[in-house]
Amino acid sequence: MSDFQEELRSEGYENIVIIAVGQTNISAFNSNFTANSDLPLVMDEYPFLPVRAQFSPNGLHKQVIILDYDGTLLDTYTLNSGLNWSAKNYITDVIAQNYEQSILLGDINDDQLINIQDIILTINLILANEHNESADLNSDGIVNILDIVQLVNIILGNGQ
Amino acid sequence: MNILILILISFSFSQSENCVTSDSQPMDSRSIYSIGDTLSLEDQSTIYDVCNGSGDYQTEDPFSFVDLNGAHNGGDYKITLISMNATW
Repeated sequence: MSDFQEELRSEGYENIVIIAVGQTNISAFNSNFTANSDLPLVMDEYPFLPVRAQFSPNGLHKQVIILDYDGTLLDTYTLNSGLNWSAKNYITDVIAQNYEQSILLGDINDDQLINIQDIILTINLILANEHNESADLNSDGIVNILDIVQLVNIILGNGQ
Repeated sequence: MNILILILISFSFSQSENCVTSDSQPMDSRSIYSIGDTLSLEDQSTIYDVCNGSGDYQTEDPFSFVDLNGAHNGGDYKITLISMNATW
């Protein structure tokens, strides 16, 4: 999977993070993983296994779970035959369909930065009663003061 | 020779300890998410231990999905692939 992350980045998908999830009760797997991969390995706490419980409650394993920028579950893919060509294509397609909107939310002028210029543009949108998906940060279908507040908080690093 | 073996055993033990932590609170009720659902902020904020450091994370760092949510980390948006590797 770490090679796949590099492949994705070489294709221009820079804002991709791959996290591997292990279980605290399978130390042999964890040791083997840490010896053979440079992906971050996040521990799912036994016995409740909260990460698995929220995505794979039926116990499917070797799944890849794809989350959008805001934590929306975009898709899952079960690696029945490992990370082969078909799996990579499927996952890359899902990323491609969601990538642009993922990194541009709040970046109204599309300069890859979120700053005061985006606030000014958002105010202009509100005054002109226009809609712009990138400016609709809370995805309520309306660009208004709530989106300005969220934008300011992003710039200040306070989240929402 | 004995000292060398002891050092090796200690090293491997400390490595595996990094991967077997139990500081987090037990959770026996979780939301179950389907495609199209957005993880609640509470679930995104749940902290997990990083066993194998890489990239922005060092071993034993805390990890939470909200770290990768641009609306909460200063605008650094990431698409996240979670590889559920462990065998169960």
